[in-house]
Amino acid sequence: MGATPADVRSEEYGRSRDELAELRALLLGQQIVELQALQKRLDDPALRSEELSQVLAQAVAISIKRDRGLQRSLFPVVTEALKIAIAKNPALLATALAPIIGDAVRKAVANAFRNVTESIDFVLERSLSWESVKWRIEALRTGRSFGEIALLRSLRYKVQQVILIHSETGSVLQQANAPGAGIKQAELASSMLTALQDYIRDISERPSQDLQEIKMDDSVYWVHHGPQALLLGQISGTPPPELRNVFARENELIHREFAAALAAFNGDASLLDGARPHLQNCLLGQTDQPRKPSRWWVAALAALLLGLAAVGVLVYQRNSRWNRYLARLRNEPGMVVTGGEKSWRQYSVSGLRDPFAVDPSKLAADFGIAADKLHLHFEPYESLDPRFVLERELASARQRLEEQMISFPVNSSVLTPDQGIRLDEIERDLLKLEQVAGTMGRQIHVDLLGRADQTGADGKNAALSKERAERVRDALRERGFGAEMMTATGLGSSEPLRHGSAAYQLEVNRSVTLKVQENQGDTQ
Amino acid sequence: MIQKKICMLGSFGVGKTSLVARFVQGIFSSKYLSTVGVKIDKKSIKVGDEEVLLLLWDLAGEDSRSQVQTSYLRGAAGYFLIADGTWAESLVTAKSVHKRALETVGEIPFMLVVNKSDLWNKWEVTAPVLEQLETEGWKIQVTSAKTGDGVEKMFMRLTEEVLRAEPMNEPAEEP
Repeated sequence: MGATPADVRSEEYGRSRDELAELRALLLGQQIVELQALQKRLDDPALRSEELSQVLAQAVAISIKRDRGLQRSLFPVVTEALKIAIAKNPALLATALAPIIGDAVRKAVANAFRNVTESIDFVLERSLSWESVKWRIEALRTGRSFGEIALLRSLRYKVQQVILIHSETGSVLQQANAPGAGIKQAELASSMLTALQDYIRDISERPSQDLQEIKMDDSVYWVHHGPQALLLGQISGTPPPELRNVFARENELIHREFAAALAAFNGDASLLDGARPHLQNCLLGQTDQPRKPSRWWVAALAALLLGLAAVGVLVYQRNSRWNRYLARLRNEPGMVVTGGEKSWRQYSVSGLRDPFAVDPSKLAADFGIAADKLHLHFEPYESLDPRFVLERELASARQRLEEQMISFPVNSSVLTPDQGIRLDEIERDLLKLEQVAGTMGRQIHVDLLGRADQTGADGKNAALSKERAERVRDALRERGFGAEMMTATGLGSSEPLRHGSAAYQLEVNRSVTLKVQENQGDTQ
Repeated sequence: MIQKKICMLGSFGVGKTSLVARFVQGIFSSKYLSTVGVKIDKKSIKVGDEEVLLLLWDLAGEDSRSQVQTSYLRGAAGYFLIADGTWAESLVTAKSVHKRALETVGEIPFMLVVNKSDLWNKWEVTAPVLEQLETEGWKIQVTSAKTGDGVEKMFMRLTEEVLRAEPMNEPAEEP
């Protein structure tokens, strides 16, 4: 079979290719072998995986060191993988968690039990007290729980300061204090607390032991441990166990709201400024010192009792005075008391009274009863008491005497015969007066007042009036009355009995009248 | 203000507490060191525009009987390894403490402080040893707690390291 031109071309082509390969082998040699090996590494997935597995760990380590990009990229993958793994084999997670969860549950149960024990103590201590009754009423009224009211109203403690501490570094994340209170070196105290916590964990057999409280003489430090941060409260007095729940609740809220900031904390606490209100919610309590509940009450009660006692004494004194006053009026001669009434502000007495009996309103002053608050309703009557009979005789004799008038002619001091009757009457009444007054232990004195009419000179009238008075005195002396019981006075025309210049008016003024004075008890 | 926890580690007697005392005015007595094993002081310093509050945890010294309680290192942003220049053994201790610190807190900024530079003529720690450590990436500061030389500087340098080492301070993303 003859060679076709195509065959010839193919033969030439094959030869030239061999030559090219030979040339390439000559020129590149080893590189071709390496290139082929490289190609095989890239093409063969098994080989490539084998190689990648050798550098993967190192690559991941470098990436993590450089930034957090890889973590973020892997996060969804890992989460998904974890979900699948747990869904397929829940026992896997249970087995992994068992050793940790046992301890956590033990701690939670122990905590709950301690709270319950403290609550029981607390309730037993208060259940029978007056305070607890008040709290129960308030709880019913406001619809809140008794425990909450007890916490709010039991004022024997005060949260002085609350510090939120980063568990890992011991740094202060936030703090809040009651006015004027608080640890000065909060950063150092927090660090020291975490150090103590670490120390306790190191020396205790169970490394998850938590420091719960530090007790001092007058205050206590309570710690609530969260996963990332712990809440430290400095409390003075005796805090109620419910306060632990407040700490726990606030710390849990902080962990929920600031999870990201807590996880990424690198020393900058300003990211947690928003957590401060939660700390302030823990600043409960009212007083520094254990309250002495009875002090105020005792004082108020004492004041009230004192006040009541004082009012009682005043009322008693008032009643007593009033009764003594009425008794006195009843015993008083010439007085018949038919009614005596007393209200808060007014007094009133009614009855009969002899005009000569003592004045009840003047007597009231002696008993401390104000005259303006006393209303008197006395009807006049004549008492048959001997004293008042005499008084009346004395008064009528006196009245008769003072109504007498001895007249004189014009410009004369001579007693005319018609005045003799007058003098007889005067003598009779004066004797009577002397006698009655003597019986009553009184002395009487008679002023003889001589007058002249308004005609004539004043100087002469004065002498004339004096003479007239002296004449009457002399006439009475002649009738046996002592000079010492009489005084003759000339009034001139200065005090006329009648004003006016008519004859009868002038006549009346030419006279002598009598004025009787009594001196009580001088002889007794 | 940013707070940073810094630990002081090293043998007994190398002058850790004196270095801190040089730097701060403390309130706790050193009896804490022998009881709880740590004494804490604070000092605020300014790095650039940033005010940093350093919480200095002075951990009880290490010796043949007791080791540094590494649990106190938890949460630290950096630590000092303190050695005594006049006592070569203290550098060995510092290295072993460093190893254990690495296991506890991983790679965080640290600095070797060689104290007692005032007693330079009695030094046992030689320059080539320190140079070798520097080539391994160690930051080293020579100090004297007695004269105060290098004390401010060591705190300033480590704080700068700590701030530099911080990741870009982005808030963590919520997925």
